[in-house]
Amino acid sequence: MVTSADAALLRQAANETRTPGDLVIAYDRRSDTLMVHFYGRGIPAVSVPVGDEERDIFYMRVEPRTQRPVGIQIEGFLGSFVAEHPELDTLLDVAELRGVTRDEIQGIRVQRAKAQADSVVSRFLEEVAAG
Amino acid sequence: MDAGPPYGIVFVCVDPLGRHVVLREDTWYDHILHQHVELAGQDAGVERAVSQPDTIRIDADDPMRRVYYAFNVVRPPFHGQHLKVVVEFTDAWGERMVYGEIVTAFVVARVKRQEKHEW
Repeated sequence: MVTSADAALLRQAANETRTPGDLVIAYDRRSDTLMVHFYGRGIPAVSVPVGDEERDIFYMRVEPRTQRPVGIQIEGFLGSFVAEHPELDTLLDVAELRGVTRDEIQGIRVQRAKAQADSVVSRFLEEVAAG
Repeated sequence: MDAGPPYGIVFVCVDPLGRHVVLREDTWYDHILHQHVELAGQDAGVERAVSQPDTIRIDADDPMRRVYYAFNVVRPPFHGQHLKVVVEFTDAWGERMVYGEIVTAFVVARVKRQEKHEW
């Protein structure tokens, strides 16, 4: 559940003006963590968990002195997060990768697609049937 | 002839349960400092978080990983936060883990509730 404080932080991050070229995205395979730095690297920040209080896998990176959101950190990115938020999978195409190659990422995607193929087809058929 | 380790080591320490934990230079420089610049110069704090943690938790997704938390070991303005260190244990004698490597470390606002308590 997203608290009102979490929602305020998320909206602040969504509404901030950013320079697209400043965005740095990085993925580390061993920790399965995706980092998005809104204003480039080098800004010290604390990782503040947002949302599901049990799992704590999605963090806003917040600069402690100004409380400005400067990035996001997602744990279990390939292990669980991207299955729930597939739209973020494309970030891996532009991420700096550590501990994994682009071919290996593609292999993981193919494995995931195979596992989901049946449910994808079923969902599509239901949508067509529903008109 | 032994060519020596392919990487340097920042530190080796022992946790409260007698397990040896190492921080490799490539992990420290290429991952932790690269993504978490707030930990620059804080390797002593990371070592303390492992050797004198406030709590050790079992990783929610990987039973061979342990998560160490230490409160107030990072310099201001992060002094009121937890330092979280994730260690992957790779060697075991029977069921007892003996050697682990630090996978990541960062400053976090709270301890993850889903992680079961070990120590």
